[in-house]
Amino acid sequence: MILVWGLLQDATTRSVCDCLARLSARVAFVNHADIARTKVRFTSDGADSYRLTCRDLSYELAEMSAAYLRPYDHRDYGDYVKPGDEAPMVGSAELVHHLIGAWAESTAALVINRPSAEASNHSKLVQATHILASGFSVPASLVTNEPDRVREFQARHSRIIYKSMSSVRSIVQELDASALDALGPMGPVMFQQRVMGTNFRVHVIGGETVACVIHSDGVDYRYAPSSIAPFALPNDVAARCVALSEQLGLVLAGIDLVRTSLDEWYCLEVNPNPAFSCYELSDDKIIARAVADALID
Amino acid sequence: MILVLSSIIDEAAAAFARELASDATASLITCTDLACAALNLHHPTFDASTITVTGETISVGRLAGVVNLLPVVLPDELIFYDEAEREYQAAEIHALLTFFLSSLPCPVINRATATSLTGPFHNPLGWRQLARSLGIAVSRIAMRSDAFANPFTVPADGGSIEVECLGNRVIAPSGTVADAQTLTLARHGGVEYLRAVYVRDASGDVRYLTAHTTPDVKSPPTRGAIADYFAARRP
Repeated sequence: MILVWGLLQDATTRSVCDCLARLSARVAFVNHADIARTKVRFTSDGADSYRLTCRDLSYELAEMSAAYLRPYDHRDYGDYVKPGDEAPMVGSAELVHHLIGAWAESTAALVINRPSAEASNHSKLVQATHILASGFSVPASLVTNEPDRVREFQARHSRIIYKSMSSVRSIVQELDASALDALGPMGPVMFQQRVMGTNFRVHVIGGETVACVIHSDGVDYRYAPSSIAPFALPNDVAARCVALSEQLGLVLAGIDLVRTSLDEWYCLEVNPNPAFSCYELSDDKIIARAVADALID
Repeated sequence: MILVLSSIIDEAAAAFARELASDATASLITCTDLACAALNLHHPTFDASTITVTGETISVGRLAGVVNLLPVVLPDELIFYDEAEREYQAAEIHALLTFFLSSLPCPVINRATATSLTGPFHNPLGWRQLARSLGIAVSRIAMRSDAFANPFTVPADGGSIEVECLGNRVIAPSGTVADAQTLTLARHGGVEYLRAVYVRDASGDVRYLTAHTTPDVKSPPTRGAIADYFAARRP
């Protein structure tokens, strides 16, 4: 049986479920929106046992041969109750996350992806160190709270962007130097050399790559007019993407690349839980199918 | 320079930093210092990075060590930000520290990983699973998400064994198998410091219960061991 933990309204999760259904796989789908009605019971009499119950469904996680985990921030749901002063420090929803995470770390089942592997994205500069080791170029980065150092960095690299250094989503923006003058005291912010070139998104799944090229004039193509087309990656670049995913412990990864006019390949970051449905360019749902195949294998 | 990184409300850490400073150059540092004093971290040229400690800006290469007493950055550490911004900034400072503590060339007790600022796991279940995978006998526990009762609480009957190790040395040996087991756990977990707690089962056998990755700097033997650790590594 395959555990799928995600949101029904999420197109990526739904596409994986649809593919699994077409392949007649046995699926235990647990809607993450039901987190307030989800319970996990862990016992260690003999072997460790995790029993997951949601509404009237109940599963022994040891029965799972694979899992696709795409949890969200449970505090965003309307029925989330923050633990009060007299309640335990850790609420029920947090514990569900901890226990499913603990199972995902220890199980022999295939997990897309294990929490420890996903964590590499929590610090983009730590991830950049891994990226560099895999043979891709990375943009120069500076974390600073000093406007003068930002100006020096900009003078060196001409065009620089700023974005979050954690996994919290932010819109990548190019720095307008005049904005610095108007800024008062600032906390640490991550600035990065803006790498000019063509954007590519590569999904790695089970050792294979599915790539597309993105044409956009925007700094952050996710928030700008853009067009996407399939792309055949050079073999060596594809191999580097696969090696990078393996190095990070990721079965599924969404890798953002930029190729410069000098044919240098930069890797901007690796998304360990990609919303790949918006990169599916045909009705065949190649990526979702590959994820389903990996889960069934 | 040895840094003691701690929460803004950790008075024991502040006292320990003062004590450490009597024998070596040492200073307390908090998230407030990181956010408000001049800071420049570079990637991939990390050795060009600088940090400001007690008003002096120094190269990261001048740091002789770090004692990290902060496993996670919580929004409450960042009271100088607007309340609505604190959660975002906490994630940012946490990411900054993960990079900083994992990149430093000097000894770090304990070095950060992507999952925790003080070691490889962000909750006790990870250490328990590691212990089990290493063949260490673990105590039986149970947890329910809907009725939480901390299974890692040390029993009040006083039958527990606590073993601390630092730098591949047990600070105060217990004379039981727990000494070697704690060293094994620390080595496989990739941490310099570990405090593991064991209990005896009905037949008297020692069983692993839980582990902690931040040194208890209220304990004089622990403080002494940390001072010795850095003294032995002084250039």
